[in-house]
Order: sequence, then C-alpha cells, then structure tokens
Amino acid sequence: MSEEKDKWLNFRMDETQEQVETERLRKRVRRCRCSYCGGSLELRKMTYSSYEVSKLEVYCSHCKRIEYGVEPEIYEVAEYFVDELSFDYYKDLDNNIRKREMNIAKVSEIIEWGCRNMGLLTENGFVIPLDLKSELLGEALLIEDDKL
Amino acid sequence: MEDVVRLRDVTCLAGNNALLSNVEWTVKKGEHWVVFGLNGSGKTTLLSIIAGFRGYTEGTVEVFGEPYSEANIIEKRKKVGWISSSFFDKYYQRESVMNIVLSGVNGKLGKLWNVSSADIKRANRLLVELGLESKMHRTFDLLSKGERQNVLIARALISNPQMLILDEPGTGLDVFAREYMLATVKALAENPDMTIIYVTHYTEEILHLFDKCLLLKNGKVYAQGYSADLFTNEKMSEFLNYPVKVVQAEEHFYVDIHMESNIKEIL
Repeated sequence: MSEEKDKWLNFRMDETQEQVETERLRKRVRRCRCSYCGGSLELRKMTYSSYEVSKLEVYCSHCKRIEYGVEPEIYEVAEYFVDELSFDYYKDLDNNIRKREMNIAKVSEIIEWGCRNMGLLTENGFVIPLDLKSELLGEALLIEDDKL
Repeated sequence: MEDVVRLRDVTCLAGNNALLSNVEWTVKKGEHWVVFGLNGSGKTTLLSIIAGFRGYTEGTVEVFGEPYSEANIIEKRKKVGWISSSFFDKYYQRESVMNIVLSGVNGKLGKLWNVSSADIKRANRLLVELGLESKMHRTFDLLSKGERQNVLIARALISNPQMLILDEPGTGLDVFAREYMLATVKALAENPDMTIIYVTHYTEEILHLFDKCLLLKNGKVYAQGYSADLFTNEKMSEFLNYPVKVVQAEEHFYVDIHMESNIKEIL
C-alpha cells in the first residue's frame, strides 16, 4: 500500500515539475524574440525521449534553430548597434543577411550578459519597465531613480 | 562496484522494425567498455536510450541506480557526457558553438537561463583547448566534421560527467585530431570513477584500456565480455562473417581484412 502511495506521490511531483517548467518556457516564448532574426519563438518537442520536460526546446521556426531567445528590447538595441554603427565581429565572413543576424545575436548576448549582471534582467524579463524610444536608441537609455 | 547502467530485456521498435531486441547489459562504475558493431547494428539507438534522449518499447533501463523519470532525467543527463555526431547532427545546424557547449550544462539541446559566468569561462577554456578559439561564435553548420566532433566533446565535458559515452568519436577527424581525441580519452580514463563507453567501427581505435567489449549485431547482443577474449581471429571472423586476422600491437587492436574489389571489371 505504502509503495503504491509513493508511486502516486512521485507521479504527482513529476507532473507538477513538468507543468512548472513548461509554463516557464511558454512565458518566455510569448515574451522573447529570436536573437538572430528577431522573429517569434515557439515551443517544440525535439527528441523521441519519453519525458516531456526533456524534449521541449525553445525554437525559431524561421531560422530552424534551437534558440533560447532574447528580450525584445535587447534585440532592438542590438539591431540598431549593428546596422547604424556597422559592428562586425565576423570580419572573415562574406557580407550577407546571415552575417548580419550572427552579429545581432552576438551583440544581444553581450547586452543580455551585462543587464543580467547589473541585476536589471532575470529569467522573467526586465525587473524595471524599460521605456525604449527608437529615436534615442543611439543616444541613451533613461532609467529614472524611482524605477531602480 | 555499483551498476552505472543496467539494461534488462530492452527492446526498441520503430514501426515493425526492431532496432534493438532483448538487450541485457550491465556496466559497472569505472569500467571501460567498447561497443563494436557494423552499420545498422543498433549502437546509436542503444546509446541514445542510455543517455536519456530516446525512449524504448519494452524492458527496463536503469542509469545510476534508477530508471529515468520526469523528475530525474535532466539531472541524470548532466552526469552523462554523450558525444554522438550521428545523433546531434540531426538537431544542430544553425546553433552557435558556444550555445551548443553550454547546453550540456542543462542536459538539454538548447541553452537555458541558468548558465553562469563560470560555465561560460569553462566552455571558453574547453573550446580553446580543443582548438576552436576562433570558431566559438560560429554556427555549427559552418564547421568542418572534425571541428563539430570537438564541439560535441566540449559539450560532453562541460558538466563534469561521471560517465562518458563516445559514439564513433574518431569519424571525420584527421590523424592528429584523432590521436589527440584518443589521448583525451586516455587521460579521462585515468580517473578510476570515470565510466567510459566507446563505440567504434574502427578497431585501431580500440585501446587496451577498453578491457570490456559488447558486440552488437542486427540489434542483438552477439557477445559480451573481456576484449582480450573477444578480439581473437576465431571470434571476430564469426562475428563479421568473414575471415579476419586480429593483431594486437602496442596499445591497439587491429583487424586485418583482406578484400578485393571487382570495380575494374565494371569500368
């Protein structure tokens, strides 16, 4: 009887963990963008594994890439940086759309790392509301005291 | 020694086709196994089941003492360093090298949020050590076969695995890269707690440190035991259905096969 109870409890725990993880990824997919193309993301079951939590991956179907994504504000700033300031990390590659996307992803990664280490960004997004003004992207990002 | 992998009567079907049939196999902690078999013998299927990336139809699979479950699969996968280009090439194309390596931290195919700065530093060091310093932000499809293999080696090692599964790691590597890879495996094997499963088509990669051997044929276990007992002229000729001569030279086994091609008669 007790074994059966344990089995049932384990099953319930598994189900809950799976739901929490899936919900977390679902939120990310709704909020974030592909760090390469800036397109929307989706959740996809990738492998033949029997366990939901292990086969779910965040995916960009436009790029056909397993892609965790970045916050839309970060992508916008990275895109501006690459296009307007001609940032080029991959000097030995031919100029094409793919190289541009790789550069945006690279800059997005750096900005994300910075924001995360400054405590502005968590797994659930920015901890303060960002008021990005497209005409000010090359100038500055204003964060007021009361929002910090 | 505790069992690290325990397979009981494992069968894996794809439609009506049996990829594996009634496989019984136990690997103990610290053992070094080589899995040898021809194309289509079920090697990659067997390993993907052990690594927790594939389900199976019947039987039981226990890895590190218990079966996989929704609650433990991610944690268990982190303990298994799995290098398999025949598996990962199906999923990785446009993912960046750094993200692929960092995905090993989570036991998933993609990078997740929990990657720390220390993980990034470690990935960096591994990629530099494996000669990929200038390629770490490239996408997987822009790399050569040998470079991809090294990315998968870095991915497998980033989580400090307790068991290493190498599925044909020498395929596509040049002579230097292959010798370097074998030297890496030898260095890792010096840790008495490290369990290694090495799959290959090429007998010259079978080092003497792999003292145990599993022979797979058509999805079934043909034989298992000590490599020295199985790598004999008689056993290998029977296994391959072809007369071969096994040569043991220094640290390696060689299977000498005399074959003739009739291509000239066609041309």
